[in-house]
Amino acid sequence: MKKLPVKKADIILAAFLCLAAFLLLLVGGIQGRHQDALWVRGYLDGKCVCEYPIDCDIKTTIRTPDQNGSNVLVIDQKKVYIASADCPGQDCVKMGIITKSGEELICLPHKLVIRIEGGDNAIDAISQ
Amino acid sequence: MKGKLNAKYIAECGLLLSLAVTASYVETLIPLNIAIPGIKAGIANCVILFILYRHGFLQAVLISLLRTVITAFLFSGPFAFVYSFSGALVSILLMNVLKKNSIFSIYGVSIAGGVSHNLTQLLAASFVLTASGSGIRYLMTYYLPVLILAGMAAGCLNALIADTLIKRIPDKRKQEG
Ligand SMILES: [Zn+2]
Repeated sequence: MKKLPVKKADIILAAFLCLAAFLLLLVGGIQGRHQDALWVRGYLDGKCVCEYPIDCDIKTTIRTPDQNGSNVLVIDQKKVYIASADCPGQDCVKMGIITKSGEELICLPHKLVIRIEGGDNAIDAISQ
Repeated sequence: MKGKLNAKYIAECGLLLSLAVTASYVETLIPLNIAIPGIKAGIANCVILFILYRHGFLQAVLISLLRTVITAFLFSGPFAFVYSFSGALVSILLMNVLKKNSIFSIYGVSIAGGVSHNLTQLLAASFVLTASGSGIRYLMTYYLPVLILAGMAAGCLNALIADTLIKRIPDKRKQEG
């Protein structure tokens, strides 16, 4: 091994990756600004644990910190709902579909809140 | 390869594996799982990097894959297993190729490993999480730059740790041979 820990190829690789990340950030920023985007955020015990734009079709399992509880969150064609959950009562599943900014799905046993944020209601959502 | 499966080799693997699992546990304490639950920074990779340089490719693959299985059972669950398994496999294959190539130092190898680890996890996550192409496009646009930068940072840190370990810990096999 040589005295110098870093080789020329390392620096070229790092520079290339930085450039790629920068360009992607730029592209993402331009795309993001063009739409008055709505976001779906999941809060566990008040802490934001996930966020998705409402126009992405997604099916994901949100687990409670102790891993004992889970809720399956679905975003499908801008409709947001809990498809299934292992909580007693299943109230979060029964809440049905939310679509507008400010609306919430709540699972009390899991201390989970799913909220649509952004758009016109952005200030309300922040001050909650 | 002759006579490798002896008690000493197995004990050594067990020791390295427990070290790798401990590093994974430390990693679970660092919350990077905003947005995509289960995706990890890849700090545990420093142990794998050390094994790759000191003990060789086969042992590194073995420890790396066993680590993902054990951490899935202990902390993260089946979804995260898909991410971390694919991430670990791709990054270690790439790191091995780049290490043999020798135009990169341990830093370049580690950065490439960290970034490929994260990108593979993102790709795996987009297959697991999203039902259609829009989700993949979204994940790529919003998280690719973050994961590239996080992978580079983790890669530098891992290389620094592994490099220090390689220099400080004497290679027993060389002394004996
Ligand atoms: Zn519920």
